[in-house]
Amino acid sequence: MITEKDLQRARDAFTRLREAIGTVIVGHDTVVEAALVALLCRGNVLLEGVPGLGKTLLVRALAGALGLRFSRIQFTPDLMPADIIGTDILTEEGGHREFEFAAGPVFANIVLADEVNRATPKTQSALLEAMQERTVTVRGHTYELEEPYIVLATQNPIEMEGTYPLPEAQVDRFLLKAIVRFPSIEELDRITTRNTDAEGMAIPDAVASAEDVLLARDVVAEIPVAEALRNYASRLVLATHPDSEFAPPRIRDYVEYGASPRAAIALIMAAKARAFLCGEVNVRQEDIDAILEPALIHRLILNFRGEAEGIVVADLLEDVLEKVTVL
Amino acid sequence: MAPLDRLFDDLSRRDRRVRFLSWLAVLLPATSGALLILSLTLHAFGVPFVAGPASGIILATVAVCASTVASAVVALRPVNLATLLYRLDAAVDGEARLSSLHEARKTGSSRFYEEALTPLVEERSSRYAMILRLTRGARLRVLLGLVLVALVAFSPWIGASLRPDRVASGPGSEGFLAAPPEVESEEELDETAEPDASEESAVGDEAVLDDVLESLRTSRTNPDDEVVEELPDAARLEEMQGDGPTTFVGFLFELSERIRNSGAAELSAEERSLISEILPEVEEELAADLEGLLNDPSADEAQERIERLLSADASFPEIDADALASDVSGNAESVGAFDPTDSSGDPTAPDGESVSPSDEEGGQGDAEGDATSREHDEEGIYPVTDFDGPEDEVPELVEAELPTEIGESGGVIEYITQGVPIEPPEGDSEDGPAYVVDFERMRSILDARTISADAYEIVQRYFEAITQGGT
Repeated sequence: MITEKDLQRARDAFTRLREAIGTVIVGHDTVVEAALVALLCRGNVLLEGVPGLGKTLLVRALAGALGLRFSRIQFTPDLMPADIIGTDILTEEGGHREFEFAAGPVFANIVLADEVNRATPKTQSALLEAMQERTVTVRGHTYELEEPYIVLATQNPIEMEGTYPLPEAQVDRFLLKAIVRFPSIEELDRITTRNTDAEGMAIPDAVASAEDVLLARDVVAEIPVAEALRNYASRLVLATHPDSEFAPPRIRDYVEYGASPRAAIALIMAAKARAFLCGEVNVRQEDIDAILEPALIHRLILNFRGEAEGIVVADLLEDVLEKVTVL
Repeated sequence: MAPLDRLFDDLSRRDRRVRFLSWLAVLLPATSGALLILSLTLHAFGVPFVAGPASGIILATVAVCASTVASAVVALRPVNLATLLYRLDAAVDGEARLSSLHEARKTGSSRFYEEALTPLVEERSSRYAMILRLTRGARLRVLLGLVLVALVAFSPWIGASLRPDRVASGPGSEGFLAAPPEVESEEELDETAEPDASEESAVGDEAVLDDVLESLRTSRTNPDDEVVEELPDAARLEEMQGDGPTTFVGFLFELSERIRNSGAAELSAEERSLISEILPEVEEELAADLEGLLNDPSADEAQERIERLLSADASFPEIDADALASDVSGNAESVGAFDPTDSSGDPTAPDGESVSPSDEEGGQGDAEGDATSREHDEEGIYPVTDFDGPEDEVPELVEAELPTEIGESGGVIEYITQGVPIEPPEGDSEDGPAYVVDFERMRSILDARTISADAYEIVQRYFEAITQGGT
């Protein structure tokens, strides 16, 4: 059972963490929040945005502020699963030969899978076990990944040629999907200032520890959610299904598949984490509403008509929010 | 019980109460309003809605009871506490603390958050309770419902549709008032007009006469008798009968009364003249008794002769009413006569309008007209003419509009003298004006007066006695 001291310690740690990331990342509050929420919920984040927006920097800053091991995997079409998860290599020592496991880059606390949609589905799938089970199996031997563990994958929405869109099953493994948008002019000014002055950009020092993160996870897990809000989250998820009674008209028209039950779990968990980050001791409706888009935007599959008409999933989720009420 | 449990219980009770009142605020105006509209509609179409003077109260009670029971049924349904608490949260600050605390207590999974939320909830407990109040609109609707219930309970048209005093329940009924005279078939009217043989024999019985007179005296002289108090018109009828008989039998009856009261059998010159005038026209047996009256008999002898005359079962020739009335009581100026052809009791004038005899006789009735103005009260009680003048004044003819419409001829106008229904004669016959009164006429007069069944019966018997079952 957690205590007031635990709560305070966790809050302080994440406050420092957010401040440390803020010294490097200009703007992108929602993206930073999504990363922290995923960290608190044992989730993974899919970051989508054009190159040069600071996605990699964000991940590096997060790892640096936490003092955790960080690895970056640049996905390419010729990347093999063994390149990610590692492989057994034959070693010889004192005339004795044996296989020794050489861990891949997934064996870290914070993994950046850059341009994940450029690798083949086989390689992409190599990440599935690590993301979902926090384990890696090589030649029948399963290796535990060290907690806290988080995968932050990026994909480029523009260069689609020669890419392999993530299969739905893999997309569903990401707790949240954050859209990295282009900074405003003020943010851009600050970015250029920070990166061109004499000192240059510096990755922050560790301000929190792995223990802080694990403690915070316990604190978040116990945050109570009112029954009415839990029911609200369920109806929000159901409303993304075109055949649901709660579905707004545009969902019926443009959606092929709605969000999975995993989405409902993600919604509740992420809402708890957001409430924690906001300093609350219970989940509010605004927490669920705020987290709805990052939690569900990658889980709705548009039908042909929706694709053809260029329907934006975020707009459909706005419709869902308008249609569904708590009571 | 923990304070939070008490808070939850209190909120549940308040919610039930508010739910009850909210439903009552809808159901009460709806049911009472529906009853009101229904009763008004039926009243407008003249359809009897309910019976009995307490009908409004009964209906109002039914509306209140039905609304209350329905609201109670709704209020007693289980309270969804989670929904209720979240509703309160949303109304207070949208932070969902109360509902989250309830959830934390219910699952028991987070003791820490339960303790963290408790003070936050307790400091808002009064605000939560404040929300569970009846809205202003609901309060107004409850008030409206009560007003409508009161209207239903005390509305004049609900009980009036079939109020007993509007129902013609027959002459024997207490509180019987003038029911609108229905147009009877000619056969029925004839049956009523023709004297029954058995009644004739009964009328001839002395005992009947004495009994009738005794009854009349009793009813007139007993001040404690409620019937007499309620029936001034019955006494007035008798009084006016004393003022001027219009038949020879009536004259004999008056004479008998006077002799009995005074103990003297002396006749006035006018009485002697009248008897002498009628003497040649009667049978011999009757003539002997009449002559005996002229010979200054003793009081007892005169009484015997009169009783023999009255019980002789013979019809006397008609007398000159003017002469008789002026001789006996001096009230003949206002007395008209029935049209002999109209003895069936049809109260309608031949052409739908009648000429007041007072107009014919120099407008004497105009002078008295104000005192005898017709009154139609709101509840449809038909005119009861009041004769307010001195007792020795001549009761004038009054115009009485009877509540009957026949075909397209319009309302029926009846000219009556208090106690004796007559119509103005269309013209004097060779024998002088004819005054024909049958009991159907009497009935219409009696019906217009608030008299008890007993008095009604007495008057009927008296009438039959003096008319010997005829006219």
